Amino acid sequence: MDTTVKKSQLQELLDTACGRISSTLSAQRSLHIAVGSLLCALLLAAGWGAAAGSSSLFLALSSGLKVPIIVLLSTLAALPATLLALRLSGVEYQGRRLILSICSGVLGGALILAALAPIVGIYYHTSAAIGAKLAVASAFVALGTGGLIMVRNALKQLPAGLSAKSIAMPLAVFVIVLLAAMLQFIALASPVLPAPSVFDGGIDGIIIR
Amino acid sequence: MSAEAELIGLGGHSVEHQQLLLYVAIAVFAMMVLGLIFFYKRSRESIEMEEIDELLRKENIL
Repeated sequence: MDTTVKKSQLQELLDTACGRISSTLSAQRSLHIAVGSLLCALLLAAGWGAAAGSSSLFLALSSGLKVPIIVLLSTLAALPATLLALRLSGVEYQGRRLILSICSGVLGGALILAALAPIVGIYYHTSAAIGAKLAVASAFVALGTGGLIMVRNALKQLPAGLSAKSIAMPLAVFVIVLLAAMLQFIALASPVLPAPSVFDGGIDGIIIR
Repeated sequence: MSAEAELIGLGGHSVEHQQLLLYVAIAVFAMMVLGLIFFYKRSRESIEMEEIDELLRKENIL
């Protein structure tokens, strides 16, 4: 019986990430799915981190820890500004719906990372020219996909009579603050990848080049 | 360590400063994960209780 419950919980998280999201979810259930999505995303991100740092055992272990730290802390750093932007915009859109959309987007991005982790690992060990670029590219694909899933889920929960433009500002604030925080957390946690990247120096590394 | 060698961390701070920040981030991460796991379990329990209450109400037991 316990196995059935666990299976249905995982299915619920994946359904949410895939856009099968009910607009009549209770507050408790929304936050439950949101937290479950975040925890699941951390496990998947750890898998990608281990694959990306698989050139040595120490780097694989440290990247397996650092990537979930980057994902969780940058998401949490962006949440207060996003919720404040939602309140200040005066839109009748519940914060828990936005949190659920954001967390399902994070899970969607982490699913992409986990799906691409084997190919990233293989290329690190067999290609000097493409290995690091592929890891960075897979992270960008995950970020883009996660963003699209977040927007899709936010729109799916939009109450009747509210236009899509009304929640554009909080979502834009989330993306901007997330990227700003993520950039510095990557720099703080570097090295995550075996080869140096432009993101290792944070914002200073990008501006002062 | 010379002063020049110390100034190679992020934002012109020392490497020790960067290391300390990383340890703080790890500690915050660990606490957040524990908090999220605790919240997840608690909310699962309350959702199950709500479902049982709903079922009993439907059966006119409550």
